[in-house]
Amino acid sequence: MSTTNAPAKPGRSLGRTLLQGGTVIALIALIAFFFAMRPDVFLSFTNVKNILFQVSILAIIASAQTVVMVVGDFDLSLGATSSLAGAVAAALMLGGVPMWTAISVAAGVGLLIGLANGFLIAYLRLSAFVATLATMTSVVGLAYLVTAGTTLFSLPEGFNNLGQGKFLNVPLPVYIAIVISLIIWGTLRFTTIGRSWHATGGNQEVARLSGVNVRRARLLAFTLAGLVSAIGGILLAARLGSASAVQGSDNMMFSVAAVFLGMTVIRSGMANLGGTMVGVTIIGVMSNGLNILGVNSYVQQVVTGLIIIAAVTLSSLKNRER
Amino acid sequence: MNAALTTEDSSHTIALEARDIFKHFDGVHALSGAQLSVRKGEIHALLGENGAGKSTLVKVLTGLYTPDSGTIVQNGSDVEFANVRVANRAGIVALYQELSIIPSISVAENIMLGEQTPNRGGLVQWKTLRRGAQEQLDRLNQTIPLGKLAGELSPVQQTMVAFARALATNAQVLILDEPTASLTDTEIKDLFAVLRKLRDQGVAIVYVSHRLEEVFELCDRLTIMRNGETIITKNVADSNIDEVISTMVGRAAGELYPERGTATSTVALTVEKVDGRKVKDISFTAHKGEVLGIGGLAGSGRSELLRILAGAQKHTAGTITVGDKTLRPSPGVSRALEAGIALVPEERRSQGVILSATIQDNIALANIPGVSSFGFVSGSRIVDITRQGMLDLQIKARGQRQPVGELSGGNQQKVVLAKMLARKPKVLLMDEPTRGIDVGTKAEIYRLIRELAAGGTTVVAVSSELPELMGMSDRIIIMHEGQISGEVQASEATEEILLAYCYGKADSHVNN
Amino acid sequence: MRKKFTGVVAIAAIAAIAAIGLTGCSTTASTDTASAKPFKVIAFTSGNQTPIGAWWVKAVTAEAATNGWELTMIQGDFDFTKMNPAVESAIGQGADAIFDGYTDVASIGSIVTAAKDAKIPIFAMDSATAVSDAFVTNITTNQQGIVDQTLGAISAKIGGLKGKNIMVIGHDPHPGIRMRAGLAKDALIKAGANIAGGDVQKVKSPATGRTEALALVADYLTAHPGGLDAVWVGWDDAALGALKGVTEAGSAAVVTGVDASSEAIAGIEAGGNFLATIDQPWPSILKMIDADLLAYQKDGTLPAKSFIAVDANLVDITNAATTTPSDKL
Repeated sequence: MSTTNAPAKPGRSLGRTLLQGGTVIALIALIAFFFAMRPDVFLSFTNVKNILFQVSILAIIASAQTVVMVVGDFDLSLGATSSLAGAVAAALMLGGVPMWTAISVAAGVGLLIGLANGFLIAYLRLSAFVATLATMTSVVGLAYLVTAGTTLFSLPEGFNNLGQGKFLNVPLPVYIAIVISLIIWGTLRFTTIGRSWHATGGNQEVARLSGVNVRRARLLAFTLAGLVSAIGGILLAARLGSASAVQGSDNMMFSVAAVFLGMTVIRSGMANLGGTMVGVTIIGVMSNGLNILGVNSYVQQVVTGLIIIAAVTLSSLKNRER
Repeated sequence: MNAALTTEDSSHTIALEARDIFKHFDGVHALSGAQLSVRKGEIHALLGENGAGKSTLVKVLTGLYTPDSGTIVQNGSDVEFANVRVANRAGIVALYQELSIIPSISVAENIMLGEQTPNRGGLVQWKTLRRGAQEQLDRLNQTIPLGKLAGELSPVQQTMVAFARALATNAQVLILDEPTASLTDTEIKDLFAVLRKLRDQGVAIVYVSHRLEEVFELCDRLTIMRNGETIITKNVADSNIDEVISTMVGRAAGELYPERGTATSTVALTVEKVDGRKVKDISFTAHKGEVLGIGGLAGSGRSELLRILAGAQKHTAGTITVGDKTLRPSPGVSRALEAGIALVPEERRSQGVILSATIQDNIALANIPGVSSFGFVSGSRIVDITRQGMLDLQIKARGQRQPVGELSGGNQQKVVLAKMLARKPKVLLMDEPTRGIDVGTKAEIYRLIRELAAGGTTVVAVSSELPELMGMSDRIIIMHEGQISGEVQASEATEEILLAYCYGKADSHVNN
Repeated sequence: MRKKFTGVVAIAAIAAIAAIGLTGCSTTASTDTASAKPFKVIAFTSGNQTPIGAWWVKAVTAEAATNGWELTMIQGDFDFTKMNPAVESAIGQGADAIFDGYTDVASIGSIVTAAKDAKIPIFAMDSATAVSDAFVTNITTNQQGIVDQTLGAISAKIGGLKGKNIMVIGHDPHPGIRMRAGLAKDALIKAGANIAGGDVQKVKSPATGRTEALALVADYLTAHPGGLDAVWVGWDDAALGALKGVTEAGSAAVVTGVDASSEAIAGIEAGGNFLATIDQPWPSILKMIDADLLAYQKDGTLPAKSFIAVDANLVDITNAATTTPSDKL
């Protein structure tokens, strides 16, 4: 209250600015720290390329998670959906199906899972937690069935190239991740459906009374997320040259973490794609930097969690006073 | 209006005093030298327009905010409340405007929440808990089943539960923020009786309200705030409503309601035999340029009728016709909007605006078809309609991109209006158009409604305040238990006639 | 309309769940035999989602059918809070013998106690890396032998181990991998090699072992260009990730794994940096335990030794073509 007729605020304090940008500053501090520790290596072309390569698939799945979280829900099944899509593509190609057909079918499977999630949540009014937990369970089972519990490999050269090939010495998944996140950014920002998603996430009842078809908006958000995460999973299979039932399972938690980190970047505290990319980068830089410093991977996991807590706490301080 | 008891009988001991309180947020001063002195055994009204600093002062008194400077004195000694719990322990309890009940737990648990929960070694003593909760409800003369989930209660009962909880903490100073907002007249009478009893027991009560009639009926003294400062404290008996309003607004109270009489004979909205949840067999017409008021007690189906008309709630029978176009049954909000019916809903904060979103985004929300082509929205068109809306309605804000949550209640309501007016509706439905809005902005809203009507819009407005119904409408329909119980021209209406209709008593042939 | 539809969906969902339940995880394959009281065996594994675990489930079910045992097969999906109670309740219903496949003794304490109380012996396969009084017998592979063979292959390829930079990748929650990674580290230090990163590099989850190993190797090679002569990996799936990291960085380092998965064997046959893997003779180990169980069924004879470590075979370019992959058993 009482800020109603406030004039433009005179210069805000440095401290406040630091708090506001907590997460971005954490990222810059991380980069500065690793650069100081290994100036010869950390910001070298090879290593930056490495980091981008390593986070490209997470970036795709985190974009999908962003869409769902903009609508105010979240999707636990994205990691499993991506694994299943990779497995379906691999199984079909090993069965002699042409590459692009296999990819399309696999992407379609992801889309259908997203559609099912959306239907359960928007139309049958299940909670997102229950619905996506259940589909995750089933989808993991399907992935085991598709792979028969083994790792599928010997995929066609052309397919592996999608994940391992390079253009201008930069791996293709990096470009694909950039294109997909740009498309999603544009969709969220410039399209009517993007506006409907923001409105639904802001306040469902307000959106409904304003003439937004809230149920369709949620359905479409989950559907898009399913499709995009499937693309991520197909790319992961191409990148590894193989597909197993669980190979993308860590992407689910990391994608949620990235979106949460990203929510701290903007003032309104809503999920946003730019912020998500900052979050993805933090996670990627952490893992790569600590690997380069030779830090034990268990310690890495502890530190990653702490960094997330630190960034989120720092950013939440700014809201404390209200 | 009863003359309030004078405070002469009380001992004049000061229960709680705030001296020279300053508080600012983001460089904006919310309080600059606020004073308040509440005596034991009095009901003290705290008045002021929205944004005058009442709520901030209350939050300082209850430990929610720490003041920048100034002192709080309780029973003669300086105190500092680090947080709400400390203030609660000191016997200072606030009951806020936004109901603070937990819908998912029982009535008894709500009343005996937190430190009031009796326990032995961490185990809840259910018998003691229920007995304690029943005691508080008895003090309020309420018969609410203790085991029921609080979320299943009516809003009225929820208020009572929140109130019972405040009583359960043995408050010495009780701060009530708009406690009667969703209560019926009978319930208000009961509440006032309880408050008077508490006062006689020596409790100090701070009563924050926009309803001045209530203040003059109930309170002993009043303090008026404006722009974060305390302007005056005096005995209610020595004041009058006009003086209070002019002190609050800082200028003489002008005529609140504009001239009537822009209604034409062209029918704009025809409702025939509409049935739905809480609504039975409703038929009426509204004309171009007319302001049609709809009244009735809480729960009489007023809001549901508006929601059905707006496509936000299903109807099971009947037809709705705008101009000469009959809508399909249960058209949905989007089709109703296209047909020219727009709704400004009752609960502004939960139904009207997205608080975290900007003014732009809120206004764009209801106008997606208007600001987009081929699925892409146009930023410049959003800027245009937002600028137009802010100009037309004189919305005070830092800019188009200010989050709506930072605006005052009146300006938030104007954003809701702007959002819907950008659709250029033929029929504008408004549910409690001035709830929680200060007097100054109320007058603006009434003028606006009249301007819209003069421009050919049909306004159908629900209000639970009879003076407002009579002041703003051309014609009034009263609902009782889901049906229309009476209709009267506003110029011929009196509170007695309207109240009789509200209780479904009068014959329906008066003044048609 | 909505209600009716929801009802239909609910019924369909219930039907689907019922169907899954009928065909679901813990199958009870009982075999009718002429004898009035068939020999009852409870078999369980937590690793049924791995190729070898899946083979074991099939192989044990087949053995039981051949021998006329009444078999209760419990598949734990790596979830001990689900598997252990299931096994214990089966024990409660009575059995003659228990057969543990690939489940670490450390994770089944409650099962061991329940079996001891019910006086039912547990026969185990690859369930501990040392003598354990939980089992009447536990037959596994010789971890020291595995390490000696793989390091021998590396040494031969890169010209001795002294002064060479070698990364060891392990995964601690798996007792076999933990043990052999530790043994490999000790042997390498003893031989005068440098352990890359100073210690065993640890993969956090077997599910993402391949991606994790890839990142470990790629990041290490960025920080230390040309800094690896070999990568010793405790199991094939992660070894294949390490192989990718090595080849993508253009390093000449050789990689070894353990398991003889078909993908690893194909990698060896391709003649690249994948040097060797280990074929663990699970079918013959299963035969040994089968014999022990039959002996016990006949007259209560318990196995002579409570711990046997069987030697495994090195698979390299010379015999890759003739080795049956572990996931094709």
